[in-house]
Amino acid sequence: MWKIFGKKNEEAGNHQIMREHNGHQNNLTKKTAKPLFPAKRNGEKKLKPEFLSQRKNSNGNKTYNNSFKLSGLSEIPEQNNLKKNNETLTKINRNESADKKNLYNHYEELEFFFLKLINEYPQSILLAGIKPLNETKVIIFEDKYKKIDFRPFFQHIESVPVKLNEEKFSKPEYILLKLTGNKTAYIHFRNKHIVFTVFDMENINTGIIINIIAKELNNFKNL
Amino acid sequence: MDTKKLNESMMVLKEALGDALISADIWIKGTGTSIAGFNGNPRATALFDQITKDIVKSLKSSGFPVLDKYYLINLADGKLVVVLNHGDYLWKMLVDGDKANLGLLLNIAIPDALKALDEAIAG
Repeated sequence: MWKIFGKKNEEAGNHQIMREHNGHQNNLTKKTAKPLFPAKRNGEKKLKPEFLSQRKNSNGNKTYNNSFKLSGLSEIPEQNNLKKNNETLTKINRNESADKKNLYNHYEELEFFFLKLINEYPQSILLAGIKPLNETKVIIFEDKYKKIDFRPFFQHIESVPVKLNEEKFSKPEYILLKLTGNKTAYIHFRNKHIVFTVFDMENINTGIIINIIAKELNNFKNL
Repeated sequence: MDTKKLNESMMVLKEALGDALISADIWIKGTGTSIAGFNGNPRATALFDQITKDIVKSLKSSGFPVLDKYYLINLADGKLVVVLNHGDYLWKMLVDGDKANLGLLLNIAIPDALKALDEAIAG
């Protein structure tokens, strides 16, 4: 399964985007020759994950949205070789609607938000991703657990708003679960998605999650 | 179980949260039936017994760490549902988030109430 995730580059202090396939990792940032997060200078307007908008397919067309096609979408069958996989992705990309491409841009913005968050709290984000409601696919931005299948849990969490509604409770904005091992799972409900994060609470506290991260996620109004 | 102390633990919570506490129930896991309450809501008690059971089960089946002290649901109307996971007991409270902040709830009201609950369980 393909994943895109941010990985801390200890020497540079920045994040690099790594692609993982069948246990092999390729550092995509080598191809761009630019760091994903260049040092912010005074007057610089906006940080942008460069490589996401620079990738091109075999026809030379920009396919930045493909990063999310590669991000663990479960409906894409696992391929044994890269060429075959790229052909599949190109075919899917050609048929994408404008709405879907727009949605992927929002995913990209969310990924950038998480990359900044990981940069700020490098040891605290164990898992981060987004899941469209009522779909099985999951898009992963960070996954330190790697081998666990967390989809059953998030599928179950999706049913909570329905149950609450049946008993006249209003719609949940988020659920925060204190877990053993000083971990916290945070699930933020948007209109059509749930954004999920699992934190190691050693270097971050609940107040930051509820008062800062939750409010930032509320700005993603198109998800 | 000292039922008098159990009701006192509910009053400890009420005193800490004041008007912010809308309702609360304590029950034994799996029963969904309140053994102490403030403005008790039997249907909500049964609902959160089931939700908690499902959360615990799905966390386990997904390979996550298990549920520890509590979970919290922030509702769109500004209310908070907090379910304390305390041994064999669950304690659900509905709180008006506009009248009590989370710091008061998580750092003062809940620890004091759980201390009182422990005393009630010890008899």
